Amino acid sequence: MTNSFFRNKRGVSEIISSLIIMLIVTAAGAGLYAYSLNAFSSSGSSFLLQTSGKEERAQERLLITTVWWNDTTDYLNVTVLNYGKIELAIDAVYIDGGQVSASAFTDGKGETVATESLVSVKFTSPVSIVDGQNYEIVAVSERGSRYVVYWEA
Amino acid sequence: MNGEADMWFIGKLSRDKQGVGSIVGAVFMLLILLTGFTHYIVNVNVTEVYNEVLQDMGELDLKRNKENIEFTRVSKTSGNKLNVTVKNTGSYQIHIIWLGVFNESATPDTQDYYELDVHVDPAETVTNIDSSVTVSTGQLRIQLVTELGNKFSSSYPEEESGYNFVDEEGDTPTTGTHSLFSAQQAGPDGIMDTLTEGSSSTNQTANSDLDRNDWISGQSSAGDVSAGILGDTYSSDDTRYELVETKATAGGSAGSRNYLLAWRFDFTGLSSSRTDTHVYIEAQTTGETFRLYWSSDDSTMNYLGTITSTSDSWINWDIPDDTSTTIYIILKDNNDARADGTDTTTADLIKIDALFLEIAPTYELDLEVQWISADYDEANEWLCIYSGTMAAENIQVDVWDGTGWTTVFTDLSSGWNSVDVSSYLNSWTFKIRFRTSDDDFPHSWEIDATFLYVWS
Repeated sequence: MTNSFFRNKRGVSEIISSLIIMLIVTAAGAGLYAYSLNAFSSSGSSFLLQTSGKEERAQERLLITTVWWNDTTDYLNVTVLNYGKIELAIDAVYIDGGQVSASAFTDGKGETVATESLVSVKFTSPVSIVDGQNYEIVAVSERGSRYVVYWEA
Repeated sequence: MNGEADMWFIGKLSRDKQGVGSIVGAVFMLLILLTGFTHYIVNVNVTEVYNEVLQDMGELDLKRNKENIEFTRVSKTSGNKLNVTVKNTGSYQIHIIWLGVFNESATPDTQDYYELDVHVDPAETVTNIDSSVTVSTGQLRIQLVTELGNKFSSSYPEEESGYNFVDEEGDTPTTGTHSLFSAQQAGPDGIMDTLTEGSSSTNQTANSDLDRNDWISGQSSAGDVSAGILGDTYSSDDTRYELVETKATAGGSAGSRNYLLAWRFDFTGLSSSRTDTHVYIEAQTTGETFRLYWSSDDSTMNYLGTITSTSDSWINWDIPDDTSTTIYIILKDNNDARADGTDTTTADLIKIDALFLEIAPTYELDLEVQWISADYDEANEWLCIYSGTMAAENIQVDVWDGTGWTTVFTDLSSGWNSVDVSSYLNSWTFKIRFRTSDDDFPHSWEIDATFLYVWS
C-alpha cells in the first residue's frame, strides 16, 4: 500500500521545487547574513571602542611637577601638568600604595585639565607625613594613565 | 487535470533544471564576504590610526628625553624682579610654558606658577626669564616646565659654593657702552659683551673777560659784558650781550678819532693734551664788520674770521693744537688805527648770543657693574673675568671697598683674569668698574663672563 502510494506520486513540479529551494536558501542566507552582520558589527564596535580607549590613553601624558605639604593644615598638594595631546582628569592618588579616599580630596579630583595646563590636587594623606621621610606618590587619570614620583617631605 | 498540467504542477524533478538556489546562496555568501571585508578594512584603518598615534607619541617621548636646560644664572634685580638665564643644551628647540617659584623659607612653603611662552633654540642662551615676576626674599627654588613635560630646577641664592655671575649694570653716569651686558652673566660661552670707550668732549665758556684797549693806543674802554657772556650755556637763546664801540679820546685830531673796540675773553685751565679745539660764536653786528683772533700768549694775534651784520648763526673756527692751558679770544672792530677818520660818526656794536670753546672729544671708559645678591660670607671669594679680544690700551678694573675704589687689575689679559677679593666683598652688594684713561680713539674690549667664584 505504501509502496503503491509513493510510486503513484510523481513529486512536485520543477517550479514549485525551485521556489521551495529558493525560499529555503534565501531564508538560510538571510539568517546567515544577519548573524554575520551582527557578529561583525559587535566585534567591530568592540574593537573600535577598545582601540579608541587605547588611542586616547596613548595620547595622555601627565607629570607631577611638585608636591607641597602644608604641615599646618596637613594637606598634601600635588601639582600635575597635562603635557599630552588631549585633556585629562585626575581620578585617584595613591600614597605609598594607599589610595586617597574620595572624601579626602578638597581640590582637583575629576577636574578637566586642558593640554599644557596645571592642576592642583589637594587632599588629606591616607598615611601620616613625617618631615624628612620619602613617599611614593602615584597620580592616576580617569583613562588609567599614571605618574609616579618619589617625594621627600 | 491533464498530463501536461500535471507536469507543470507536480512534474518530475529534472536534473537539468537546478541552479537558482545556488545563485541566491552565492549572493548571500558574497554579501557576507563583503561585510566581513568592509569590517576588516575599517579595522585596518583604525589600527593604522592607532599606530600613527603611538608613533607620534613615541616621537614626542624621544624628543622629551633629549630636552635639557642648564641654568646659567638666577638672580634678582634691584626691584626684586626675577631674572633667570638658561641655556638649551639639548638637541631640540625647547618651549618653556611654566615658571614655578617656590619659597622654601616661608612657613608654610609657598608655591606659585607663572605662565611663560619662551622658546629656546639648541645652544641658545636666553636671559630675563621672567623679569616681570616679583619675588620675595628667602631661599627660593626656581622651576621651569616645558611643553614636552620636562621640569628643570635651580636654587636661589645658589648653594654654598659656586659662581655668582654679575647681576646688573652699575650706577650712572657712565662713560662708554656695553654691547650686550647679559653676555657677562653667563659663560664663558663665546658670547661677548664689547665694552667701548665713550666720548667725553667738553664745551667751555670764558673764565673772564677784559677790555683790551691798549692794543690800540689811546682807545677808550668799552662797556662791560662779562656778566652775560661768561654765564651763557652755549645755547642759541637769543639773549644777546652787547659790546659797544667807544670813541678814542687821544691820538690825532679830535675830528679824526674813530669809534673802536678791542675785547679779550680768557679761557683758562685747558688740558695741555688737547687734540682738537674749536671756537664757537653766534653773533651779529649793527653794520660794521668785527674781527676775531686767538692767541695763546696774549701777544701774537692769530686771525680767525669776521662777524658781520648778517652772521647771526653759529660760526666756528679751528684753533691749531698746542700745549697752552690758556687761550685768549680777541674781538676787534674793523679799525687798525685810532685816528684815521674812517669811523668817526657811528658807535657800532656787536651782539653776542654765545661764545665758547669746544674741546675736541676724547675717549675713555668708566663702566660699573655690580652684584646685588653676592655670596659674601664664604672663606674664599675670587673675582673672575674671562676676556676675548682686547685693545692694546690698558683696561683697568677697580673694586669698591665701601669707601673708595681700589684697583685689582691694571690691565686685563685675553682669557682668564682672577683675583682674590675677599677683603672687599663684605655685603650682598659688590661693585666693580672698568676704566681706561682718555685718548683720542674709541677702543673696545670683549668681556665674555664676569663672576665671583666663592667656596667655603
